[in-house]
Amino acid sequence: MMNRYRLNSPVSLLAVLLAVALLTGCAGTQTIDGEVNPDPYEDNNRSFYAFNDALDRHIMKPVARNYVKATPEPVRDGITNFFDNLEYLNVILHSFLQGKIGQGFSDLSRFVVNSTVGIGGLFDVATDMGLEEHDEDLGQTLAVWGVDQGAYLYIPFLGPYTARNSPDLASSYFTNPFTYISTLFLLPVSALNLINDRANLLDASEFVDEASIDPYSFIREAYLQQRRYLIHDGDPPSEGYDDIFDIGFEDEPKLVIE
Amino acid sequence: MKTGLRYRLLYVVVLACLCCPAGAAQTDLASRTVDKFHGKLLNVMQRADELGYRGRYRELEPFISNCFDIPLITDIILGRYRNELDEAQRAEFSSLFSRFSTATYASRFDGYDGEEFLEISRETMKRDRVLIRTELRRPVQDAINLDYLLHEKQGKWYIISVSADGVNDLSLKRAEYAAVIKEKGYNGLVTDILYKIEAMEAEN
Repeated sequence: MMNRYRLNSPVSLLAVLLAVALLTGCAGTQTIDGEVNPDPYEDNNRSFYAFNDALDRHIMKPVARNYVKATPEPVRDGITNFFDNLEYLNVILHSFLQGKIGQGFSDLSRFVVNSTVGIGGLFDVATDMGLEEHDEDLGQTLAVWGVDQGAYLYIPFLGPYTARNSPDLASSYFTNPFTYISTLFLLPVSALNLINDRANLLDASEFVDEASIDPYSFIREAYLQQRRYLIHDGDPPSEGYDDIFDIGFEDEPKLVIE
Repeated sequence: MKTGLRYRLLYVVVLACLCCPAGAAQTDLASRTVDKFHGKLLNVMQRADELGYRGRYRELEPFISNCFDIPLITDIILGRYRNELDEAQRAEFSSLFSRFSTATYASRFDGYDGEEFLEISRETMKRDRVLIRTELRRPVQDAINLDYLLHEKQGKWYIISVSADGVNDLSLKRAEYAAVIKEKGYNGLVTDILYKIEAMEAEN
C-alpha cells in the first residue's frame, strides 16, 4: 500500500526520518535464542500502537463509517483513484531505481493515461488498457540494493514501518504534487485522503478485530510478511517456505518473540 | 559419447522417468485436498444466506478437520510452550483451535459474488511436502494469492499452512499466541480464544 501521510515541514520530516533510520538501523540485529528479533522496541511500539488504536476507535473509524454511508461507492472509487494516481510518481521513480526499466516506462504511461484520459486520475482507464498497477517504494528499493530491514517501528499517527522503509515517508512526500500546493488547499484535501483511506481499510480492520487475539503482534507479523512479499513483487521464492516445520521437528521450537 | 557417460545419462533418464510419475501422483493427491477444501468453501459461500453462520459452521467443520492437520499446526503455533502441556491439554487446544478456525471461515466467507479458485502451480518441497499455489479471483477486486503447504500423514494429504498474499497464517498465530502466553499464560490464551469464538457467534 502506498503511503499517503505527510508531515508539515519537509526539512523537519527529513531530519526526523534520518534520526529514526540511524537510531534503529542496526537494532533489528539483536537476537533471541539465536534468532533475529525484528521488534527490539516492542514496549515503546506497543504504547504507540495503543495511542493510534484509541485515536482510530474514537475518531477515525466512526468518521470513516459515516463517510461510507454518505458517499456512493463510485464516488469513493474516484477519490481513491485520484489520490493513487498522484502518489504514483513515487512508484515510477522506484521502478526505475530498482532497475525495472520496462515496468518504469509502463508506470509512466499509466500515470500519463490516467492523468489525461482518466480526467486527472479520477478514472483508472490505464488498467483496462493493460497498463498494470505496481506497488514500489523506497523501502523496496533499499531492500533490492541490499539494505537490511532494521527494526520494526510503530509510529504515532502513521502506523507500522521498518527502519528501512521509514525514509519512504520523505520519498512519497517529495514526489507527491500536492506537496507543492498551498497549505490552505492541502489540509482539507489531505483530510479527505485520510478518511477515504481509512474507509478502504474498514473491512480489513474488522477482520483483525475478529480474528486476532493480540492485534499488535498480528499487525506486526502481517506487515513484515507483506513487506517481504512486495519486495519480491508478489512472487517470493519458495526456499525457506516450510522451515518453520523443520525447526519444530529437529530442535526445540524457538519463539521469535518472547 | 563415452560408454560410461552414456550409461550415466541413461541412468539419469530412467531415474527421472521413475521419479516423475511418483512426484506427479503426490502433487495430484495434495492438489485434491486443496480442491476439496475450495469446493466446500465455494459451496458454503453460494448458500451463505440460506445456511446462516451456524449452518456454514456446521458444513465447514468436518472439512476443516479432514483437510487440515490441526494437531501439527497447533504444535507449531504453540512452539516450545507445547512441551509444558500434557497430552490432554494439547488435544484440548487442538480442538479449540479447530473451532476457532472454523468460526473464522464461517464468519468471513459469508456471501458469493462470482469468486473462483484457480490452481497456479505445484511444487515438491523438503521432506516430500507439497506447495500448491492458487488464486482466489474476484470479479470486482484484485485476486488474492493463496498458497497451501501440505504433507502426507497415514496415506492422507493434509494442509499444514496457508499464506494469503504472502502473509502466513502459521507465523502470524505463532507470534501472536507467544505474546499472549507471555502476558497471560496458557489459560489466558484459551480464555481469549473462547471469547473470540463467542463474539463471532454473537455477531453472526
